[in-house]
Amino acid sequence: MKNRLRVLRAEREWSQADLADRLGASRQTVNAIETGRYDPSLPLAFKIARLFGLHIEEIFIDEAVEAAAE
Amino acid sequence: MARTVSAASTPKVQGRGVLTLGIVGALVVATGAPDVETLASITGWGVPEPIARAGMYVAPVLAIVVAMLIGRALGKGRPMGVRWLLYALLGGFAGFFMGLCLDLFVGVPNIIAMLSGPLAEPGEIEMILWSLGALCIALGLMVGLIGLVGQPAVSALQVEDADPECVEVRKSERGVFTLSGIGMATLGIACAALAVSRQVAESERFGPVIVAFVAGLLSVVASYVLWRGFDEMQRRHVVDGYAASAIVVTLGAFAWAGLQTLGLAPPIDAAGVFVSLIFVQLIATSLVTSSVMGQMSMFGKPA
Repeated sequence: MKNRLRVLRAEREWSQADLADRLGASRQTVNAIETGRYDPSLPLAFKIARLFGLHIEEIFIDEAVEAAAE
Repeated sequence: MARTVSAASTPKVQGRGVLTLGIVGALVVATGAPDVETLASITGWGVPEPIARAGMYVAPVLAIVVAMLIGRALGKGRPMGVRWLLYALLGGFAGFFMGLCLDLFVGVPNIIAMLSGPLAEPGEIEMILWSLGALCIALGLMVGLIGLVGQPAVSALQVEDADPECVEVRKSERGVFTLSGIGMATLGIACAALAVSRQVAESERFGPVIVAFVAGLLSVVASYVLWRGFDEMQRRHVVDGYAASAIVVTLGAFAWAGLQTLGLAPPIDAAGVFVSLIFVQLIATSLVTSSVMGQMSMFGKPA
């Protein structure tokens, strides 16, 4: 699953460590989510969405839906 | 269309793991003495004994360095799981070659014998316990070093060039590495003490067994504290690793049971089950973690 986490984080000039602290997660987890190696649980995805003031689907992009739309 | 994550283009940090492994290999080699049978074979080919002896010290170190360089070259651009397998296989060959050339840690049995009495010749299970113990202690020291020193230790141990974010170790993360190192090292001590308890005279077994229990308990406590501090992804890696181990061990035990019934495999005792579990768990948790995390978590069992 693709996501815009790195872009959103960069817009706020946060490091991965800053974002990890805000989420109560490890820096490794933030890195794995950003690079698409790990899909977060729903609670963590909601936490991320709340932190950026966005809906989940504005951050995480379902590639199957994206492909269907194209 | 929304902007999405793209591959990071930040310059990589140079890994010095090959050099470090070469130095560690040289230190380990220095504790050994040439294997008598191998030395006899080499001199039998007409090689003068002094040259054969020197070669048996030098060749294993070169084998380690060459194995890692080949692993790096073959693994370039391949998924982490494949690279992990390549390093494990090539490193295994280098280790086997080292064992073929030298009897390592020749002074250690005498030191242990001074503490616990004379040791009987090790059987297969004891050999595996010693090997696992040495591996866990070495891994524990490496991971513990990261906990103590931080980033320089990661760069020194990293075999491949890595993203700066992978090499970075924050102060708050050092505790995780320290605990992980303690867990690994104490597990290694428990394995070694169990081996000693099986090799000493019956009247001398109580001491090594107590050491094994205390070290095992410390390892469990360290793992539990680590687990409590893990977030959801780290816990998932641990669960995935243990799930994979459970499948392998169940299939292995089933196959063993069948072979034993046919008289093709010897009976296995509790120590045999223990070493099989630890061995499979070490491989499975490392493989699962490295597959998902890439370079960030190649340093041993996560919990």
